[in-house]
Amino acid sequence: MTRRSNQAESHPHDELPEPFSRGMAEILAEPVPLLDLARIQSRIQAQTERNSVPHLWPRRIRQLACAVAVAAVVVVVASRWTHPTSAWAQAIQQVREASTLTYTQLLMIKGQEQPVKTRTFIAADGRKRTEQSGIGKSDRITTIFGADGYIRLTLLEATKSAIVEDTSKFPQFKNPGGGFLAWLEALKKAGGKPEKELGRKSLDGRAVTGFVATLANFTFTMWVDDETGKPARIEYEPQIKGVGYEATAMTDFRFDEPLDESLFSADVPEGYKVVGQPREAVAPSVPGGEESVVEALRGYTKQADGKFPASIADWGPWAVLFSKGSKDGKLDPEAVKVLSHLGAITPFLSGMKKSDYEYLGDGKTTAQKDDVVFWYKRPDGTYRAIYGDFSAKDIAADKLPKP
Amino acid sequence: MALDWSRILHEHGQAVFQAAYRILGQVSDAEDTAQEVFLEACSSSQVGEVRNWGAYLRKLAVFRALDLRRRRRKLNSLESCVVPADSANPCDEAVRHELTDRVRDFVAALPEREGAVFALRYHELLSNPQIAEVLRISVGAVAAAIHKVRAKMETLLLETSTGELP
Repeated sequence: MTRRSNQAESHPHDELPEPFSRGMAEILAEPVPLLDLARIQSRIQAQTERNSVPHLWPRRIRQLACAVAVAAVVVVVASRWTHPTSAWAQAIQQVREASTLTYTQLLMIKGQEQPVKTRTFIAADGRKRTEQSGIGKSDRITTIFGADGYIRLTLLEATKSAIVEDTSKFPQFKNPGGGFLAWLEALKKAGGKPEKELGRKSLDGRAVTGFVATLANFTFTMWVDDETGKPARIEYEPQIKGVGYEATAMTDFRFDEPLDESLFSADVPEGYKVVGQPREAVAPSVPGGEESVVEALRGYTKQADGKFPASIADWGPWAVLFSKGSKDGKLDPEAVKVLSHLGAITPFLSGMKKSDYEYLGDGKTTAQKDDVVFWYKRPDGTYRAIYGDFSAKDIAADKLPKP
Repeated sequence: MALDWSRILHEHGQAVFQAAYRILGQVSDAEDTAQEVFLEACSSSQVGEVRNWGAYLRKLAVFRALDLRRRRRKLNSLESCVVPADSANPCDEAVRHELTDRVRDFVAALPEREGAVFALRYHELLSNPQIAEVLRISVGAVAAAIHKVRAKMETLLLETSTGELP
Protein backbone atom coordinates (compact mmCIF):
# COMPACT_ATOMS: atom_id res chain seq x y z
CA MET A 1 0.00 0.00 0.00
CA THR A 2 1.43 3.35 -0.93
CA ARG A 3 0.33 6.92 -0.94
CA ARG A 4 1.49 9.98 -2.75
CA SER A 5 3.24 12.27 -0.35
CA ASN A 6 1.94 15.75 0.11
CA GLN A 7 3.81 18.39 -1.77
CA ALA A 8 3.79 22.10 -1.14
CA GLU A 9 2.41 24.48 -3.73
CA SER A 10 5.86 25.84 -4.48
CA HIS A 11 8.72 23.56 -5.38
CA PRO A 12 12.05 24.62 -3.88
CA HIS A 13 13.87 22.16 -6.12
CA ASP A 14 13.00 24.37 -9.09
CA GLU A 15 15.85 26.59 -7.97
CA LEU A 16 18.35 23.76 -8.45
CA PRO A 17 20.29 23.33 -11.69
CA GLU A 18 19.29 20.61 -14.12
CA PRO A 19 19.38 17.63 -13.92
CA PHE A 20 19.25 17.92 -10.10
CA SER A 21 15.93 19.73 -10.29
CA ARG A 22 14.46 16.94 -12.43
CA GLY A 23 15.93 14.28 -10.13
CA MET A 24 14.41 15.91 -7.06
CA ALA A 25 11.05 16.20 -8.83
CA GLU A 26 11.22 12.46 -9.55
CA ILE A 27 12.11 11.67 -5.93
CA LEU A 28 9.20 13.77 -4.64
CA ALA A 29 6.86 12.11 -7.13
CA GLU A 30 7.75 8.63 -5.90
CA PRO A 31 4.90 7.06 -3.94
CA VAL A 32 5.95 6.71 -0.31
CA PRO A 33 4.83 3.35 1.13
CA LEU A 34 3.00 3.35 4.42
CA LEU A 35 5.12 2.38 7.39
CA ASP A 36 4.16 -0.85 9.15
CA LEU A 37 3.65 0.85 12.52
CA ALA A 38 2.63 -2.34 14.30
CA ARG A 39 5.91 -3.99 13.39
CA ILE A 40 8.01 -1.04 14.51
CA GLN A 41 5.94 -0.77 17.68
CA SER A 42 6.50 -4.39 18.62
CA ARG A 43 10.24 -3.99 18.08
CA ILE A 44 10.57 -1.02 20.39
CA GLN A 45 8.14 -2.30 23.01
CA ALA A 46 10.80 -3.85 25.20
CA GLN A 47 12.80 -0.68 24.98
CA THR A 48 9.96 1.61 25.94
CA GLU A 49 9.06 -0.49 28.94
CA ARG A 50 12.51 0.02 30.31
CA ASN A 51 12.50 3.67 29.40
CA SER A 52 9.38 4.46 31.39
CA VAL A 53 11.65 5.14 34.35
CA PRO A 54 10.31 8.21 36.20
CA HIS A 55 12.27 11.29 35.25
CA LEU A 56 12.28 12.32 38.90
CA TRP A 57 15.09 9.83 39.41
CA PRO A 58 18.60 11.21 39.64
CA ARG A 59 20.29 11.64 36.25
CA ARG A 60 22.92 9.00 36.98
CA ILE A 61 20.28 6.38 37.76
CA ARG A 62 18.39 7.31 34.60
CA GLN A 63 21.57 6.88 32.56
CA LEU A 64 22.13 3.49 34.18
CA ALA A 65 18.56 2.45 33.39
CA CYS A 66 19.02 3.50 29.76
CA ALA A 67 22.25 1.54 29.51
CA VAL A 68 20.44 -1.54 30.78
CA ALA A 69 17.67 -0.92 28.25
CA VAL A 70 20.14 -0.67 25.38
CA ALA A 71 21.79 -3.90 26.53
CA ALA A 72 18.36 -5.54 26.57
CA VAL A 73 17.76 -4.49 22.97
CA VAL A 74 21.10 -5.95 21.96
CA VAL A 75 20.08 -9.24 23.57
CA VAL A 76 16.70 -9.15 21.80
CA VAL A 77 18.35 -8.45 18.45
CA ALA A 78 20.96 -11.15 19.01
CA SER A 79 18.32 -13.73 19.89
CA ARG A 80 16.30 -12.80 16.81
CA TRP A 81 19.36 -13.33 14.64
CA THR A 82 19.25 -17.04 15.23
CA HIS A 83 15.51 -17.21 14.60
CA PRO A 84 14.56 -18.66 11.18
CA THR A 85 13.01 -15.42 9.87
CA SER A 86 16.33 -13.71 10.54
CA ALA A 87 17.97 -16.30 8.29
CA TRP A 88 15.63 -15.07 5.56
CA ALA A 89 16.51 -11.44 6.26
CA GLN A 90 20.20 -12.23 6.30
CA ALA A 91 20.00 -14.07 2.98
CA ILE A 92 18.04 -11.23 1.38
CA GLN A 93 20.65 -8.80 2.62
CA GLN A 94 23.36 -10.90 0.97
CA VAL A 95 21.48 -10.70 -2.32
CA ARG A 96 20.80 -6.99 -1.96
CA GLU A 97 24.33 -5.95 -1.07
CA ALA A 98 26.32 -8.20 -3.38
CA SER A 99 28.94 -6.32 -5.38
CA THR A 100 29.57 -9.29 -7.67
CA LEU A 101 27.36 -12.32 -8.06
CA THR A 102 27.71 -15.69 -9.73
CA TYR A 103 25.05 -18.40 -9.83
CA THR A 104 23.76 -21.31 -11.88
CA GLN A 105 20.25 -21.17 -13.27
CA LEU A 106 18.40 -24.43 -13.95
CA LEU A 107 15.47 -24.19 -16.36
CA MET A 108 13.15 -27.19 -16.10
CA ILE A 109 11.76 -27.76 -19.61
CA LYS A 110 8.52 -29.65 -20.07
CA GLY A 111 9.21 -33.16 -21.39
CA GLN A 112 12.97 -32.92 -20.79
CA GLU A 113 14.65 -34.91 -18.05
CA GLN A 114 17.68 -32.63 -17.79
CA PRO A 115 17.32 -28.90 -17.09
CA VAL A 116 19.00 -26.27 -19.23
CA LYS A 117 21.90 -24.91 -17.20
CA THR A 118 23.08 -21.33 -17.42
CA ARG A 119 25.96 -20.02 -15.36
CA THR A 120 25.64 -16.26 -14.86
CA PHE A 121 28.41 -13.88 -13.80
CA ILE A 122 27.60 -10.30 -12.80
CA ALA A 123 30.51 -7.88 -12.45
CA ALA A 124 30.65 -5.00 -9.99
CA ASP A 125 30.15 -2.50 -12.82
CA GLY A 126 27.08 -4.29 -14.18
CA ARG A 127 28.57 -6.24 -17.07
CA LYS A 128 27.26 -9.76 -17.33
CA ARG A 129 28.23 -13.06 -18.85
CA THR A 130 25.93 -16.02 -19.31
CA GLU A 131 27.10 -19.49 -20.32
CA GLN A 132 24.22 -21.65 -21.42
CA SER A 133 24.85 -25.38 -21.72
CA GLY A 134 22.84 -27.26 -24.30
CA ILE A 135 20.70 -30.21 -23.40
CA GLY A 136 22.99 -33.22 -23.48
CA LYS A 137 25.85 -32.26 -25.79
CA SER A 138 28.42 -29.60 -25.11
CA ASP A 139 27.18 -26.85 -27.36
CA ARG A 140 27.58 -23.97 -24.98
CA ILE A 141 26.33 -20.51 -25.89
CA THR A 142 28.12 -17.64 -24.17
CA THR A 143 26.68 -14.15 -24.15
CA ILE A 144 28.45 -11.01 -22.96
CA PHE A 145 26.33 -8.04 -21.90
CA GLY A 146 27.59 -4.48 -21.44
CA ALA A 147 26.99 -2.59 -18.21
CA ASP A 148 23.97 -1.01 -19.89
CA GLY A 149 22.26 -4.39 -20.27
CA TYR A 150 22.70 -4.74 -24.03
CA ILE A 151 24.32 -7.72 -25.72
CA ARG A 152 27.84 -7.14 -27.00
CA LEU A 153 28.97 -10.59 -28.06
CA THR A 154 27.51 -14.07 -28.53
CA LEU A 155 29.75 -17.12 -28.87
CA LEU A 156 28.43 -20.41 -30.26
CA GLU A 157 30.85 -23.11 -29.12
CA ALA A 158 29.50 -25.88 -31.33
CA THR A 159 30.37 -24.00 -34.54
CA LYS A 160 33.05 -21.72 -33.10
CA SER A 161 31.01 -18.78 -34.31
CA ALA A 162 30.93 -15.29 -32.87
CA ILE A 163 28.15 -12.76 -33.33
CA VAL A 164 29.43 -9.28 -32.61
CA GLU A 165 26.77 -6.71 -32.04
CA ASP A 166 26.07 -3.44 -30.32
CA THR A 167 22.35 -3.32 -29.78
CA SER A 168 22.39 -0.33 -27.44
CA LYS A 169 20.45 1.81 -29.93
CA PHE A 170 17.57 -0.63 -29.78
CA PRO A 171 15.78 -0.72 -26.41
CA GLN A 172 13.92 -3.89 -27.38
CA PHE A 173 17.20 -5.79 -27.03
CA LYS A 174 17.87 -4.71 -23.48
CA ASN A 175 17.87 -7.76 -21.23
CA PRO A 176 16.51 -10.06 -23.93
CA GLY A 177 14.10 -12.70 -22.73
CA GLY A 178 11.98 -10.27 -20.75
CA GLY A 179 14.63 -9.32 -18.23
CA PHE A 180 16.41 -12.43 -17.07
CA LEU A 181 17.42 -10.69 -13.87
CA ALA A 182 13.90 -9.51 -13.01
CA TRP A 183 13.78 -12.19 -10.32
CA LEU A 184 16.84 -10.68 -8.68
CA GLU A 185 15.41 -7.19 -8.66
CA ALA A 186 12.16 -8.51 -7.19
CA LEU A 187 13.96 -10.45 -4.47
CA LYS A 188 16.03 -7.45 -3.49
CA LYS A 189 12.81 -5.63 -2.61
CA ALA A 190 11.79 -8.32 -0.14
CA GLY A 191 10.91 -7.24 3.37
CA GLY A 192 12.32 -8.60 6.58
CA LYS A 193 9.86 -11.45 6.87
CA PRO A 194 8.78 -14.20 4.48
CA GLU A 195 5.16 -15.27 4.04
CA LYS A 196 5.79 -18.80 5.14
CA GLU A 197 8.51 -20.92 6.66
CA LEU A 198 8.98 -24.42 5.30
CA GLY A 199 11.16 -25.81 8.06
CA ARG A 200 14.50 -27.55 7.68
CA LYS A 201 15.74 -30.23 5.31
CA SER A 202 18.95 -31.56 3.82
CA LEU A 203 19.94 -30.22 0.40
CA ASP A 204 23.06 -31.64 -1.28
CA GLY A 205 24.35 -32.66 2.13
CA ARG A 206 23.75 -29.28 3.71
CA ALA A 207 21.17 -28.41 6.35
CA VAL A 208 18.91 -25.70 4.93
CA THR A 209 15.81 -23.81 6.04
CA GLY A 210 13.08 -22.94 3.56
CA PHE A 211 11.02 -19.78 3.13
CA VAL A 212 8.29 -18.69 0.70
CA ALA A 213 7.54 -15.12 -0.39
CA THR A 214 5.67 -13.50 -3.28
CA LEU A 215 7.20 -10.39 -4.82
CA ALA A 216 6.29 -8.65 -8.08
CA ASN A 217 4.46 -11.66 -9.59
CA PHE A 218 7.23 -14.05 -8.49
CA THR A 219 6.51 -16.66 -5.85
CA PHE A 220 9.93 -17.54 -4.47
CA THR A 221 11.00 -20.52 -2.46
CA MET A 222 14.37 -19.84 -0.90
CA TRP A 223 16.48 -22.43 0.89
CA VAL A 224 19.05 -20.84 3.16
CA ASP A 225 22.17 -22.68 4.30
CA ASP A 226 21.90 -22.99 8.09
CA GLU A 227 25.65 -22.84 8.54
CA THR A 228 26.63 -19.95 6.26
CA GLY A 229 23.35 -18.01 6.23
CA LYS A 230 23.64 -17.71 2.43
CA PRO A 231 21.01 -18.71 -0.11
CA ALA A 232 21.60 -22.30 -1.20
CA ARG A 233 18.78 -22.53 -3.73
CA ILE A 234 16.15 -20.08 -4.95
CA GLU A 235 13.22 -21.40 -6.98
CA TYR A 236 10.27 -19.72 -8.65
CA GLU A 237 7.38 -20.76 -10.81
CA PRO A 238 6.96 -19.22 -14.28
CA GLN A 239 5.61 -15.69 -14.06
CA ILE A 240 3.32 -16.19 -17.02
CA LYS A 241 0.95 -18.93 -18.07
CA GLY A 242 1.60 -21.26 -20.98
CA VAL A 243 5.39 -21.06 -21.13
CA GLY A 244 7.44 -24.00 -22.27
CA TYR A 245 9.19 -24.50 -18.94
CA GLU A 246 7.93 -25.60 -15.58
CA ALA A 247 10.17 -23.90 -13.05
CA THR A 248 13.42 -22.06 -12.59
CA ALA A 249 15.95 -22.69 -9.85
CA MET A 250 19.14 -20.84 -8.98
CA THR A 251 21.94 -22.63 -7.18
CA ASP A 252 25.67 -22.45 -6.45
CA PHE A 253 25.69 -18.80 -5.43
CA ARG A 254 28.95 -16.92 -5.03
CA PHE A 255 28.75 -13.45 -3.52
CA ASP A 256 31.42 -10.73 -3.69
CA GLU A 257 34.07 -12.98 -5.22
CA PRO A 258 36.61 -11.35 -7.56
CA LEU A 259 35.71 -12.08 -11.19
CA ASP A 260 38.38 -12.20 -13.86
CA GLU A 261 38.18 -9.29 -16.28
CA SER A 262 38.47 -11.66 -19.24
CA LEU A 263 35.03 -13.09 -18.44
CA PHE A 264 33.44 -9.88 -19.63
CA SER A 265 35.64 -9.12 -22.62
CA ALA A 266 33.72 -8.33 -25.79
CA ASP A 267 36.71 -9.30 -27.93
CA VAL A 268 36.26 -12.31 -30.19
CA PRO A 269 38.34 -15.19 -28.78
CA GLU A 270 40.98 -16.85 -30.90
CA GLY A 271 39.58 -19.65 -33.04
CA TYR A 272 36.14 -18.08 -33.43
CA LYS A 273 34.81 -16.82 -36.74
CA VAL A 274 32.61 -13.74 -36.86
CA VAL A 275 29.33 -14.63 -38.55
CA GLY A 276 25.78 -13.37 -39.08
CA GLN A 277 24.45 -9.93 -39.66
CA PRO A 278 23.99 -7.37 -36.92
CA ARG A 279 20.72 -7.89 -35.14
CA GLU A 280 19.73 -4.26 -35.62
CA ALA A 281 19.69 -4.79 -39.37
CA VAL A 282 16.86 -7.27 -39.24
CA ALA A 283 14.77 -6.81 -36.10
CA PRO A 284 12.16 -4.05 -36.08
CA SER A 285 10.84 -2.15 -33.09
CA VAL A 286 7.34 -3.22 -32.06
CA PRO A 287 4.75 -1.51 -29.87
CA GLY A 288 4.17 -4.37 -27.42
CA GLY A 289 0.97 -4.83 -25.40
CA GLU A 290 -2.35 -5.63 -27.02
CA GLU A 291 -1.17 -4.55 -30.46
CA SER A 292 1.69 -7.03 -30.42
CA VAL A 293 -0.64 -9.83 -29.32
CA VAL A 294 -2.90 -9.07 -32.31
CA GLU A 295 -0.05 -8.83 -34.79
CA ALA A 296 1.70 -11.95 -33.53
CA LEU A 297 -1.52 -13.98 -33.76
CA ARG A 298 -2.29 -12.57 -37.19
CA GLY A 299 1.16 -13.55 -38.41
CA TYR A 300 1.00 -17.04 -36.91
CA THR A 301 -2.43 -17.90 -38.32
CA LYS A 302 -1.36 -16.66 -41.73
CA GLN A 303 1.55 -19.07 -41.67
CA ALA A 304 -0.48 -21.93 -40.11
CA ASP A 305 -3.47 -22.03 -42.45
CA GLY A 306 -5.73 -20.16 -40.06
CA LYS A 307 -4.93 -22.16 -36.93
CA PHE A 308 -4.19 -20.28 -33.74
CA PRO A 309 -1.10 -21.34 -31.75
CA ALA A 310 -1.39 -23.50 -28.65
CA SER A 311 0.31 -20.81 -26.58
CA ILE A 312 1.52 -17.23 -26.88
CA ALA A 313 4.16 -17.76 -24.18
CA ASP A 314 5.86 -20.92 -25.43
CA TRP A 315 8.06 -19.75 -28.28
CA GLY A 316 9.17 -23.22 -29.38
CA PRO A 317 6.33 -24.08 -31.79
CA TRP A 318 6.48 -20.56 -33.25
CA ALA A 319 10.20 -20.91 -33.96
CA VAL A 320 9.61 -24.27 -35.64
CA LEU A 321 6.80 -22.90 -37.81
CA PHE A 322 8.65 -19.82 -38.98
CA SER A 323 12.00 -21.51 -39.45
CA LYS A 324 10.42 -23.68 -42.15
CA GLY A 325 10.49 -20.73 -44.52
CA SER A 326 14.02 -19.65 -43.70
CA LYS A 327 16.78 -19.61 -46.25
CA ASP A 328 20.40 -20.18 -45.28
CA GLY A 329 19.42 -19.84 -41.64
CA LYS A 330 17.92 -16.39 -42.17
CA LEU A 331 14.28 -15.55 -41.57
CA ASP A 332 12.34 -13.42 -44.00
CA PRO A 333 11.47 -9.91 -42.79
CA GLU A 334 7.81 -10.79 -42.25
CA ALA A 335 8.72 -13.70 -39.97
CA VAL A 336 11.15 -11.51 -38.03
CA LYS A 337 8.40 -8.96 -37.51
CA VAL A 338 5.93 -11.58 -36.23
CA LEU A 339 8.52 -13.05 -33.86
CA SER A 340 9.43 -9.57 -32.63
CA HIS A 341 5.77 -9.07 -31.72
CA LEU A 342 5.83 -12.46 -30.00
CA GLY A 343 8.88 -11.42 -27.99
CA ALA A 344 7.09 -8.28 -26.86
CA ILE A 345 4.18 -10.32 -25.47
CA THR A 346 6.24 -11.81 -22.62
CA PRO A 347 6.96 -8.55 -20.78
CA PHE A 348 3.32 -7.56 -21.37
CA LEU A 349 2.09 -10.74 -19.67
CA SER A 350 4.68 -10.74 -16.91
CA GLY A 351 3.49 -7.29 -15.87
CA MET A 352 0.08 -8.74 -15.00
CA LYS A 353 -1.15 -11.21 -12.42
CA LYS A 354 -1.76 -14.65 -13.83
CA SER A 355 -5.45 -14.28 -13.02
CA ASP A 356 -5.70 -11.07 -15.07
CA TYR A 357 -5.34 -12.59 -18.54
CA GLU A 358 -6.14 -15.76 -20.46
CA TYR A 359 -5.16 -17.11 -23.84
CA LEU A 360 -7.94 -19.22 -25.38
CA GLY A 361 -6.79 -19.68 -28.96
CA ASP A 362 -5.58 -23.27 -28.64
CA GLY A 363 -7.62 -25.40 -31.06
CA LYS A 364 -9.36 -22.41 -32.65
CA THR A 365 -9.13 -21.08 -36.21
CA THR A 366 -9.73 -17.69 -37.78
CA ALA A 367 -13.11 -19.01 -38.99
CA GLN A 368 -14.33 -18.61 -35.40
CA LYS A 369 -14.50 -14.86 -35.81
CA ASP A 370 -16.62 -14.11 -32.74
CA ASP A 371 -14.69 -16.30 -30.32
CA VAL A 372 -12.46 -14.62 -27.76
CA VAL A 373 -8.92 -15.86 -28.22
CA PHE A 374 -7.31 -13.62 -25.59
CA TRP A 375 -8.51 -11.31 -22.84
CA TYR A 376 -6.80 -9.24 -20.21
CA LYS A 377 -7.56 -6.82 -17.43
CA ARG A 378 -6.35 -3.26 -17.83
CA PRO A 379 -4.84 -1.32 -14.92
CA ASP A 380 -8.09 0.66 -14.58
CA GLY A 381 -9.99 -2.58 -13.88
CA THR A 382 -11.76 -2.85 -17.24
CA TYR A 383 -11.30 -5.80 -19.59
CA ARG A 384 -10.27 -6.11 -23.23
CA ALA A 385 -10.77 -9.06 -25.53
CA ILE A 386 -9.18 -10.06 -28.84
CA TYR A 387 -11.43 -12.08 -31.13
CA GLY A 388 -10.87 -14.66 -33.85
CA ASP A 389 -11.04 -11.95 -36.51
CA PHE A 390 -8.28 -10.02 -34.65
CA SER A 391 -10.62 -7.25 -33.57
CA ALA A 392 -10.05 -5.95 -30.03
CA LYS A 393 -12.92 -4.61 -27.93
CA ASP A 394 -13.83 -3.80 -24.34
CA ILE A 395 -15.66 -6.65 -22.65
CA ALA A 396 -17.68 -6.83 -19.43
CA ALA A 397 -16.23 -8.98 -16.66
CA ASP A 398 -19.28 -11.26 -16.63
CA LYS A 399 -18.89 -11.93 -20.37
CA LEU A 400 -15.38 -13.29 -20.11
CA PRO A 401 -15.20 -16.87 -21.39
CA LYS A 402 -13.89 -19.56 -19.08
CA PRO A 403 -10.69 -21.35 -20.05
CA MET B 1 5.29 10.77 33.96
CA ALA B 2 6.09 8.04 31.41
CA LEU B 3 6.15 9.03 27.75
CA ASP B 4 3.39 7.67 25.53
CA TRP B 5 5.63 6.06 22.89
CA SER B 6 2.70 4.52 21.08
CA ARG B 7 1.20 7.96 20.49
CA ILE B 8 4.56 9.41 19.45
CA LEU B 9 5.10 6.54 17.02
CA HIS B 10 1.64 6.91 15.49
CA GLU B 11 1.93 10.69 15.20
CA HIS B 12 5.42 10.82 13.75
CA GLY B 13 6.23 7.33 12.45
CA GLN B 14 5.15 7.98 8.86
CA ALA B 15 6.99 11.32 8.71
CA VAL B 16 10.17 9.66 9.99
CA PHE B 17 9.80 6.84 7.48
CA GLN B 18 9.14 9.29 4.63
CA ALA B 19 12.20 11.38 5.46
CA ALA B 20 14.34 8.24 5.43
CA TYR B 21 12.71 6.80 2.32
CA ARG B 22 13.35 9.90 0.23
CA ILE B 23 17.03 9.76 1.08
CA LEU B 24 17.41 6.01 0.72
CA GLY B 25 14.87 5.06 -1.94
CA GLN B 26 14.48 1.56 -0.43
CA VAL B 27 11.55 0.48 1.72
CA SER B 28 13.51 -2.01 3.81
CA ASP B 29 16.32 0.48 4.49
CA ALA B 30 13.83 3.19 5.40
CA GLU B 31 12.04 0.81 7.79
CA ASP B 32 15.33 -0.09 9.43
CA THR B 33 16.15 3.59 9.78
CA ALA B 34 12.74 4.37 11.30
CA GLN B 35 13.24 1.57 13.80
CA GLU B 36 16.72 2.83 14.61
CA VAL B 37 15.42 6.38 15.10
CA PHE B 38 12.75 5.33 17.59
CA LEU B 39 15.09 3.01 19.46
CA GLU B 40 17.65 5.79 19.66
CA ALA B 41 15.02 8.26 20.81
CA CYS B 42 13.63 6.06 23.54
CA SER B 43 17.08 5.17 24.85
CA SER B 44 18.29 8.75 24.76
CA SER B 45 18.86 10.52 28.04
CA GLN B 46 17.56 13.69 26.36
CA VAL B 47 13.98 12.51 25.87
CA GLY B 48 12.76 14.47 28.86
CA GLU B 49 14.05 17.66 27.25
CA VAL B 50 12.38 17.18 23.85
CA ARG B 51 9.75 19.83 23.18
CA ASN B 52 9.13 19.29 19.47
CA TRP B 53 8.98 15.56 18.74
CA GLY B 54 8.34 16.07 15.03
CA ALA B 55 11.48 18.14 14.58
CA TYR B 56 13.60 15.94 16.84
CA LEU B 57 12.63 12.67 15.16
CA ARG B 58 12.87 14.08 11.64
CA LYS B 59 16.37 15.33 12.37
CA LEU B 60 17.39 11.89 13.62
CA ALA B 61 15.79 10.27 10.56
CA VAL B 62 17.69 12.50 8.13
CA PHE B 63 21.04 11.95 9.83
CA ARG B 64 20.61 8.19 10.20
CA ALA B 65 19.38 7.78 6.64
CA LEU B 66 22.32 9.78 5.28
CA ASP B 67 24.66 7.61 7.38
CA LEU B 68 23.14 4.47 5.91
CA ARG B 69 23.21 5.78 2.37
CA ARG B 70 26.91 6.57 2.75
CA ARG B 71 27.59 3.07 4.04
CA ARG B 72 25.72 1.38 1.26
CA ARG B 73 27.93 0.23 -1.50
CA LYS B 74 26.74 1.51 -4.82
CA LEU B 75 24.86 -1.23 -6.58
CA ASN B 76 24.34 0.31 -10.00
CA SER B 77 25.81 -2.91 -11.23
CA LEU B 78 22.92 -5.06 -10.25
CA GLU B 79 20.10 -2.57 -10.26
CA SER B 80 20.39 -0.28 -13.23
CA CYS B 81 20.41 -3.15 -15.66
CA VAL B 82 17.16 -4.60 -14.44
CA VAL B 83 13.80 -3.24 -15.45
CA PRO B 84 11.09 -3.71 -12.82
CA ALA B 85 8.31 -5.98 -14.01
CA ASP B 86 5.64 -3.41 -13.19
CA SER B 87 7.22 -0.69 -15.29
CA ALA B 88 4.95 0.68 -18.03
CA ASN B 89 7.99 1.73 -20.05
CA PRO B 90 11.17 -0.18 -19.21
CA CYS B 91 13.50 2.37 -20.78
CA ASP B 92 11.95 5.40 -19.05
CA GLU B 93 11.93 3.55 -15.74
CA ALA B 94 15.61 2.70 -16.04
CA VAL B 95 16.53 6.33 -16.79
CA ARG B 96 14.40 7.60 -13.90
CA HIS B 97 15.94 5.12 -11.50
CA GLU B 98 19.46 6.09 -12.52
CA LEU B 99 18.79 9.81 -12.16
CA THR B 100 17.21 9.57 -8.69
CA ASP B 101 19.93 7.18 -7.55
CA ARG B 102 22.65 9.62 -8.56
CA VAL B 103 20.94 12.57 -6.90
CA ARG B 104 20.65 10.49 -3.71
CA ASP B 105 24.32 9.57 -3.91
CA PHE B 106 25.24 13.23 -4.39
CA VAL B 107 23.31 14.22 -1.26
CA ALA B 108 24.84 11.39 0.76
CA ALA B 109 28.33 12.49 -0.31
CA LEU B 110 27.83 16.02 1.08
CA PRO B 111 29.26 16.96 4.48
CA GLU B 112 26.87 16.01 7.28
CA ARG B 113 25.30 19.40 7.90
CA GLU B 114 24.93 20.27 4.21
CA GLY B 115 23.34 16.91 3.53
CA ALA B 116 20.86 17.37 6.34
CA VAL B 117 20.00 20.93 5.27
CA PHE B 118 19.53 19.76 1.69
CA ALA B 119 17.26 16.87 2.73
CA LEU B 120 15.14 19.03 4.99
CA ARG B 121 14.73 21.75 2.39
CA TYR B 122 14.25 19.74 -0.80
CA HIS B 123 12.88 16.44 0.50
CA GLU B 124 10.88 17.70 3.46
CA LEU B 125 10.12 21.14 1.94
CA LEU B 126 10.90 23.01 5.15
CA SER B 127 11.63 26.75 5.18
CA ASN B 128 15.02 28.04 6.26
CA PRO B 129 13.76 29.10 9.73
CA GLN B 130 12.15 25.66 10.19
CA ILE B 131 15.40 23.95 9.21
CA ALA B 132 17.28 26.20 11.61
CA GLU B 133 14.93 25.14 14.41
CA VAL B 134 15.22 21.42 13.60
CA LEU B 135 19.01 21.47 13.40
CA ARG B 136 19.46 24.08 16.13
CA ILE B 137 21.59 26.31 13.95
CA SER B 138 21.13 29.87 12.76
CA VAL B 139 19.07 30.78 9.72
CA GLY B 140 22.21 32.26 8.22
CA ALA B 141 24.00 28.94 8.57
CA VAL B 142 21.12 27.23 6.73
CA ALA B 143 21.30 29.74 3.88
CA ALA B 144 25.07 29.31 3.67
CA ALA B 145 24.75 25.52 3.51
CA ILE B 146 22.19 25.74 0.72
CA HIS B 147 24.41 28.14 -1.20
CA LYS B 148 27.37 25.75 -0.85
CA VAL B 149 25.34 22.78 -2.06
CA ARG B 150 24.13 24.65 -5.15
CA ALA B 151 27.67 25.77 -5.87
CA LYS B 152 28.84 22.16 -5.63
CA MET B 153 26.14 21.12 -8.07
CA GLU B 154 27.21 23.76 -10.56
CA THR B 155 30.86 22.78 -10.18
CA LEU B 156 30.06 19.14 -10.67
CA LEU B 157 28.09 19.85 -13.82
CA LEU B 158 30.85 22.06 -15.19
CA GLU B 159 33.41 19.35 -14.51
CA THR B 160 31.39 16.75 -16.38
CA SER B 161 30.80 19.29 -19.21
CA THR B 162 27.98 17.14 -20.57
CA GLY B 163 25.35 18.51 -18.22
CA GLU B 164 24.73 15.00 -16.94
CA LEU B 165 25.50 13.59 -13.53
CA PRO B 166 28.64 11.47 -13.43
